[in-house]
Amino acid sequence: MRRHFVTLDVFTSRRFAGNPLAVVLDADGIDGPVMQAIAREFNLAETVFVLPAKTAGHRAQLRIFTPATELPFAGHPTIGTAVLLNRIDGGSANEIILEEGIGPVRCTTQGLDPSTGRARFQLARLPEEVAEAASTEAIAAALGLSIRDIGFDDFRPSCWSAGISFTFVPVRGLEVIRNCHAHLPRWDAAFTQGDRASAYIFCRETVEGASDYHARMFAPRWGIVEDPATGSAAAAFSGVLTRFAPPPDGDHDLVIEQGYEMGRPSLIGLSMNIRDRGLASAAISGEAILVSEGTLEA
Amino acid sequence: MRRRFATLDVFARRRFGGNPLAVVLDGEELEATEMQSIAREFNLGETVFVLPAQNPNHRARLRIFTPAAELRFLGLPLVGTAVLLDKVDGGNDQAVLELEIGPIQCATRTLDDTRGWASFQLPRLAEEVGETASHDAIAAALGLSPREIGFDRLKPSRWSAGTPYTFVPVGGLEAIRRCSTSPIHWNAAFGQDGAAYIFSRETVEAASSFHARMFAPRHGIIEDPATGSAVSAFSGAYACIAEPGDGEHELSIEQGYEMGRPSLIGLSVKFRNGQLMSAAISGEAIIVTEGTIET
Repeated sequence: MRRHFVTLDVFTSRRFAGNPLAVVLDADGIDGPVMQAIAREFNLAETVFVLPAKTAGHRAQLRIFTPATELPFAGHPTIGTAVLLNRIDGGSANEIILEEGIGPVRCTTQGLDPSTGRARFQLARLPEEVAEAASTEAIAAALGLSIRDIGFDDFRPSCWSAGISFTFVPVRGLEVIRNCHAHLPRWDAAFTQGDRASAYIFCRETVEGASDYHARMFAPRWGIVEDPATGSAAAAFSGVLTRFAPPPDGDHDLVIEQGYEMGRPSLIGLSMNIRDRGLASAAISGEAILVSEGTLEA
Repeated sequence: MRRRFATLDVFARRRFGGNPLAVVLDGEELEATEMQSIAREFNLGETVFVLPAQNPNHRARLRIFTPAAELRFLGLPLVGTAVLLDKVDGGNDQAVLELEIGPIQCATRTLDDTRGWASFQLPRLAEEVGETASHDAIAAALGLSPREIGFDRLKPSRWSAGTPYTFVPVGGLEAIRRCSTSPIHWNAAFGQDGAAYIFSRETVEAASSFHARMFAPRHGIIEDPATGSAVSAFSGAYACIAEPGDGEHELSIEQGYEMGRPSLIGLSVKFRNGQLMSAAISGEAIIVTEGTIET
């Protein structure tokens, strides 16, 4: 059966920047192993399969695959698919509910022009600290950095998850972040045991004046040498900020830039609502642009 | 501008086997930097851009990009693009395609609506390129024991038909399945940028001549499901492996099974007085996606 697909660049409004995503639109009847084979064939960070919603009133059920495995939730597939479904539905501002592995995800969407749109989703699950980070020595060795490069202000390495776990590694500035890389022989000692998962490196110094943080994400054990825009990490990052740099009560809108070192600049919006010095809710937002469309036999 | 593209699985035994390739059919007026961005966006092994031929008797000019750089020549994109153009033209039997290294004659055959076959003569014969590391070093880099390296009288050797490979004979499928690259021992065995092609005479399919795996971790290729340039170089190693008599020999090499992407590459070699005179690579390709990309 021929099925329709679209690819988009997510967390950008410029083609060939941001994070590419493939969305297979009429995925009803494709079984899990074939979805995995298709995701592997596309070889993008994620491929989404859009299925009919199980609950009336929801827009669709999504299944999200990396080339290696299925994910219960991921930020950039959620944003990209919401923008695409909004385009298909006519492009006017609306709210939709997408059913993902972790549960229903509420998204607001808005078309910007015939090929771009914007979407925002409320975190279905607030971030929680999931494990102790490895030692600073182990982390520095795995990233090709020196111990002095790690940490700034009150920030220390820590492990958080809003569905997928990351080790968050604060570093001094842009020069340090540019120099870091995944050093494979030392990787597993720092990042792959238990829940420590993958590495999200961040600093306060930014390339764009309007950004609040600059970040890079490495997940070599998932086959991702580097990811240009990681929504699920930005989601969990709200936990890091609440813990190490707690903002005052109220609403806070931040922008995190990522992917610059790869030549795929991305901007991820992170909105946090703080109440009694705790994180009450958080949302991820971003733009996406349609790049290619076609059909696939599956 | 909207441009037509297709993706194909090349050297594939079935859909989602072999090695995926993207071909942008209307490549006119794209700058090299834009082609590079598009190749990066597709993120497949290679992306080919089809341009009008410079010589009116040729079918097309091709430019080939990996996500990182432009290549002057590569077998897999040539086979995939020849199959696709044959489909677009409605069956052509042959076509001359212009690559950066010069024109290459391809024979093509339609198999069904989405599948075709193509073959081309190697523009450059394989030559031996230096010594290999010791059996111990090679075994350590592949997670094998030194006894498992080599079969019959065969030892590892290094050959190139454009890209150098270390060819490592191993006793059988069981050992080849167990191979895994050791980052710590890799450089000592294969060199920092080295690529290793492991092969055995024991095969999964009865019709195959050899079973193979290819690793090039420093190039970001943990394992490759189908490596045309390695099979091209293998034509040189074959003289030592089989001591083939004069005349033509048709071989087929299976690869990619351990990755779940089974592939089959045809190699046809001609020997005279024990010397390799010519070699041709052939294989099938299957169209997987078709669409348009906005550039």
